[in-house]
Amino acid sequence: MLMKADKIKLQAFFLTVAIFGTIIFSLLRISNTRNNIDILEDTLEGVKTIVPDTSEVYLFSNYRVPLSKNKIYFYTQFALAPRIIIKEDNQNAEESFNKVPNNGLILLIEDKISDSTFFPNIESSNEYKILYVKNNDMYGIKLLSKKPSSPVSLFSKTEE
Amino acid sequence: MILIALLFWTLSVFFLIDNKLKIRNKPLKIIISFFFTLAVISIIFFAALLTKVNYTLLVTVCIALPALFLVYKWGQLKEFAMGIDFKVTKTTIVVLVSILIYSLLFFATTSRWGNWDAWAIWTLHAKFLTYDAGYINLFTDATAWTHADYPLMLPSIIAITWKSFGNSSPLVPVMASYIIGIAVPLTIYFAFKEKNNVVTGQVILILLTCSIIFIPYASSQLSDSLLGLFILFPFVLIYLMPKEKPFHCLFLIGFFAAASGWVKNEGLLFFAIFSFYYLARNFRDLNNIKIYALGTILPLLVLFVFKFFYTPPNDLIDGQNSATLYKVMDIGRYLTIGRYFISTMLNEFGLLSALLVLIFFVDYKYYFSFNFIIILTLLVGYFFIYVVTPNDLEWHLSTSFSRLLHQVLPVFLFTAGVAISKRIDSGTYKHISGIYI
Repeated sequence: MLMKADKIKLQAFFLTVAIFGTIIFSLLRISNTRNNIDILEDTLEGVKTIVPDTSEVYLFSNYRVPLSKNKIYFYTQFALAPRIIIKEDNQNAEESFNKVPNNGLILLIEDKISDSTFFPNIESSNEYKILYVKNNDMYGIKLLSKKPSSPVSLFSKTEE
Repeated sequence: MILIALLFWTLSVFFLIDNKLKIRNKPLKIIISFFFTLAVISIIFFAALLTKVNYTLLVTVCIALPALFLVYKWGQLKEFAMGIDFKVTKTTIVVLVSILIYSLLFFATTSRWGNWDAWAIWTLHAKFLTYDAGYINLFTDATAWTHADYPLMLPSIIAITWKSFGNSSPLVPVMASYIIGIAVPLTIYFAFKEKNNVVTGQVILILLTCSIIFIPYASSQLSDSLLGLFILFPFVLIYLMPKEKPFHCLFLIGFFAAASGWVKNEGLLFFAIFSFYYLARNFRDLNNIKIYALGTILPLLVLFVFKFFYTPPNDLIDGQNSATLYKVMDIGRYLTIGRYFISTMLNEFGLLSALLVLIFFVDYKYYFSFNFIIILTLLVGYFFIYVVTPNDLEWHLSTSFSRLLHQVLPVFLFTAGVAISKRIDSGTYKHISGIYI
């Protein structure tokens, strides 16, 4: 028969185990879940190895809805911090592309869930050098560098 | 590595204050030591970033210095280790059950990376601080949307832990929030236990750990709980201040009051209000004021450098213009804020409202006490910030008001508990110029 004091000690022991068990189990659960931030961050891993920490990157995405467009921007800033992400006006993409300085870095993010395929056919342009491309089920990304040149002419779009 | 530094520093501070604070309760002293350590390390980390001190060197020094001190205090350390007595009583069971329920509720309500403000502001700031060269990008126009003027205690703590582990794990902000969240009710409980008011302590402990009044905000991974804790510490230390040689206590009061400004901008308002009333109360005791001021030096220094050399203007201050005067004279704004306050108190903080009424019947003099006057002045300060806010008023209220109440909830519960327990124990009151303590 356990003495009362021993019973209390046993209870305390099991409660302590339960507390640590809860913490460990919960941390493992959180560790094994992924959300949109993680998916985009994984997609942009290669960009981090190319773009220095102190750089600026001009972001274009295929979202048209303001809130969703902003979300991609915020997620991207979070994923690529401390690099500065500059959100460009996707409604005037060509004008915005022209504003990117020579040797400037451009990040194109295509959300596969979005119903618009917005990007100009950038590969055929001589004005940009493709530094990195990655695609998965959620996102397609291209990292480009603008070559030093005279102001660019309009290039064709593939757009629905 | 940083965890070792935290442990050594916490132990060092603990031994420094062990006999000086005249507090018998060891867990309470450990909590105070730990959060004092966290605040100091966050300041040192930020200073090291600005002065480009190598991170490895920084951690090495942070481990070596307290290690040397602990070797010097080897005898005391040995005595402490040998004297650890895991005495388990029924009250221990109550505490453990409360912690278990808190843990279950916390992890049920928290999420990977937290809510929007958590990752888009606090954790994002931590990401910038993780980089020796790139941190400066936090203070550019392009990142102004992330409120780069917000103080950096929590982001610094997260950043220095990430750097130590070598990766930016989402588990770090989660565990930081967990530890901060549980520290609040435990601090209150142990403070009451120190004065043998165990029942009062247990009631507040259960209230905070087992209800939704506190946990959803604690698990949000924002800085509000940390600010609530740093607002709480000065009041706890005043409650437990020894009558003779209270110097270490006064120093810590000054430190925590000032360091609350390094947690959030609202902490600056708290520090100003607390200091005003504290100085008014102690204006005859120059020695007390000097020691209080000494405690504020380190946090105020880092805040000065941060605010004047790095941060962009605060959006609330920068947004003031000629329309401000019209807002001040607009009665409609006062009514809107008042209505919002009442509805939030009744709907989300009903228990708090009930306590406010209960206190009136138990000890109406609480409303004239030093403690309550500070809390009330702070709430009045928040009120006027809403009056002049450049943001849409309804939007600003809906996105922030509950969190402001969360910040003052711990100190209100604690001070109300002090008043009630004093009445129950028929304790004596000290009457100073009409203000009851």
